[in-house]
Amino acid sequence: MKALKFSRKQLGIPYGVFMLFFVVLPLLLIVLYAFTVETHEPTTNDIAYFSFSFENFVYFFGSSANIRAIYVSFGLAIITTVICLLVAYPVAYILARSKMKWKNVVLMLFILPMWINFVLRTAAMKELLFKIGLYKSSKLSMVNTVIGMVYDYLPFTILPLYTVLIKLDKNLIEASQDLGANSVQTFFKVVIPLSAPGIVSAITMVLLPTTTSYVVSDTLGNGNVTIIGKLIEDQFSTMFDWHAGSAIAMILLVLIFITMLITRKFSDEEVNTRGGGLW
Amino acid sequence: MKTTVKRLIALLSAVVIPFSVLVLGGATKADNNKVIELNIYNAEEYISEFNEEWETFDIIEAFEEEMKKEGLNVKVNYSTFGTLENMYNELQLTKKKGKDGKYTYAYDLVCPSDYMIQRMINEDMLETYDVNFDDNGDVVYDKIDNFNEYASGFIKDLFNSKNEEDYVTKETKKWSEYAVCYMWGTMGFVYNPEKLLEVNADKNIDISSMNGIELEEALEANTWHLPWEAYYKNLGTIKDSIRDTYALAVGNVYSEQLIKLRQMWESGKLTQSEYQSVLIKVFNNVNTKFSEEFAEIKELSPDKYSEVCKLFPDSDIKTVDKVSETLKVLKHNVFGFEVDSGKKDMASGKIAINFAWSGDAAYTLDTADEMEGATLYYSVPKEGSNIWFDAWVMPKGANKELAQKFVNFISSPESAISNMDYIGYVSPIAGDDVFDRLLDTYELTTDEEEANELGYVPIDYSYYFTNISDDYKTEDGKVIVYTSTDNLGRQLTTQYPEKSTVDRCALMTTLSKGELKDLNKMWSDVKVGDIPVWLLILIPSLIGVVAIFFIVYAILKKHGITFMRKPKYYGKLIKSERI
Repeated sequence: MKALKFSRKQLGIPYGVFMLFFVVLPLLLIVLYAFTVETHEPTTNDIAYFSFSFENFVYFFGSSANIRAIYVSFGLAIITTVICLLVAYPVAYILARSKMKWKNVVLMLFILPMWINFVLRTAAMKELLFKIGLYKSSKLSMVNTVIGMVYDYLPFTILPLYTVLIKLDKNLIEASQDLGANSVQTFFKVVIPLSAPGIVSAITMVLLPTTTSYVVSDTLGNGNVTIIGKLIEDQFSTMFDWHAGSAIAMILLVLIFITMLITRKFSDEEVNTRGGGLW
Repeated sequence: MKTTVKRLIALLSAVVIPFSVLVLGGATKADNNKVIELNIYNAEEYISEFNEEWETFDIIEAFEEEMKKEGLNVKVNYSTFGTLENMYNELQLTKKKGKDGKYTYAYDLVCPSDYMIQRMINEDMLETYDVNFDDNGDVVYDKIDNFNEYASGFIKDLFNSKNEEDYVTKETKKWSEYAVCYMWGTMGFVYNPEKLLEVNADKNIDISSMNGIELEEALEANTWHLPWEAYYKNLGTIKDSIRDTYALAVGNVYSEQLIKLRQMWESGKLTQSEYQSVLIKVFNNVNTKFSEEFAEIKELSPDKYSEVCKLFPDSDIKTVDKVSETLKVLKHNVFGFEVDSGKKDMASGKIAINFAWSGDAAYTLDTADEMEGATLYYSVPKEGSNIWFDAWVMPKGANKELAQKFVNFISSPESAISNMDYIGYVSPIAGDDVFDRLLDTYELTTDEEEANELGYVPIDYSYYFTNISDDYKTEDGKVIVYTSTDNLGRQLTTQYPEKSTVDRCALMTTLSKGELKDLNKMWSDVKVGDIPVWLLILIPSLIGVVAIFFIVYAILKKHGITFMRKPKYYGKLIKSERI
């Protein structure tokens, strides 16, 4: 069995190769496309050469429709995330602390929808909303989209919160109560700050995908809700303009990066200060 | 240890033996006959498959069987695309550059629509079929006898009348040299008369005894204004596709002018082909002036030209901007934009107006009948509409021989009928068999006396069924069918429109890159919708204020200036400590 011994470096090779080809290279390509425009050969329609240009960005910011789409996307994403957190946190907290026998079954019920195809789930949601009567006016498109998004991303919020909360040291809570804090104080001053890593990863897993997952907004929003992901898709598939599409993708990437930086900062502070300060 | 080895061997042999048999079997077959692959690329759910109830057969399988009889071992690789743009992208991505610097594409046979075919011809992506020309200069295919024999003269004329310049040789070539029609139809509205009447308080009419023609008049369902009608708020859907919805909006913007244009044609001031050419120009106008557009129509005489220009005066507002305005209005009146859900929603009664292709319309009507839902109708706007077709084309580098064999096979009446039964669209194949099927399905008759007894009304299909046997024709060579009035405005006239309907339908043409860009910009503007200005300003300013606050705070902190913090009062804690 000696031959099977690998050093840590060697074990890292498969992922390294994977990352190089499927993460780093595509990203570089997006950057390349975003900052260039192509010129075609007049007769054969071949791509003659790429030339460096800011045209794609000028085009993007030159049209207010794109800016509005960013607003809609982030508005939708923030609303969805907040609702997801509000719904998921109590569930995760109760489940983590309860000694119920069927705890795992209840947890699975929340996770179960994840195993069903995403598009199918959304289509089913549409029928359901119609039965309830929410699906009858274009004004309700946004509401329907939010409901659909929350439904689709709720498992992604519950799981990270649950894993953090179940590891929570019960002694800390007891200590807090010992020291005279009532249960509300304990929750806000001890439990929430300690579960900050879970909250942050839940935000990461919901906020970012919802800005681009246009399947939900298309199906449930009846085309009345257009988010930035749809604009990227339009550029690639209808216009066949990879450059403009890449530019939008890059702008989105930068925006998401900024959001991440902010959330990261909050989470770091909280973990370091162990419940002090911010709350 | 030994047992594990044995088990492994057993397992391995269990896996390997069937495989080797398969491989060997394949090998012996291949020895007799080399497998030839045919790569077909078609729209989703756009070919007949086996269905016992509908008596349809699997075209692909049947073709492979047929080829076996000819001694060819053909394997068809059939793949599908969602939208034409996706198809175009896929072709562009999979093309290969040959030694001679020319591109070849990964597919042998593709089935795009009109404007995309034009674009593909313009970009020199297509092979031509093997053709000859008859005395009239019309195309006769060398290897597609079925199409020569059975295809409707109407479709053949349509394809022969359109010319495109060859990219390399600069010769003018007919569309029929590049494309063989697969399915065709019109665009219009599917509507639910009962539901429309429910909300329309002004209309106090009894629709129970009306036929489709009277209905669309009474409910004004035969005009482009239909989805804009304030009565029908939240009852209609339109297509989430730029090209189709653009045509809809243009129809609404120029509705009055289009009606005047139609009157010019009806009164004989314009010939049929002149009217068609003008229609095409109007429906495909984006940002050029009409006077320039119409100048391109060579057949238009100077005084006719000036008259048409008077009807469509040049204005400073481009068509695309007018469309943008009208679509923004529409967006608030319709229920939404749909991709494929319109058929289902219409049949189940969620919505009452759907802008649709005739093939989908027929399917919707059928579904609603099967579900015993409402009786739906289809209308083509009186201002003029769009006629579309999908056709088989061979991208460069295709296996022409085999591809033409397939097109010939699919153009046979049996295949055409199976296809029509399965997908609900209309094939251009129009021989005796197809005519029989038509009479059968809609319980039509060609017997005038019988028709009079039943109170049937005549429809003249002479323009379409050009090649059926004389038994079906009247004495003066016309094709007249008599139908119950129940069929009017329903599946029959959806699938096979009358000549007067087809005459006012124009083709979609391909747009230039600049026009597409304008169109796309307009489209995303419409789709994203409005956001109040105060919100647009408020959020960045809020973010800015917060950022400035943090920066100032950080700077102050660095310089040792901190804001005083009130020490928190932990009274109880201190008490407990003392104890």
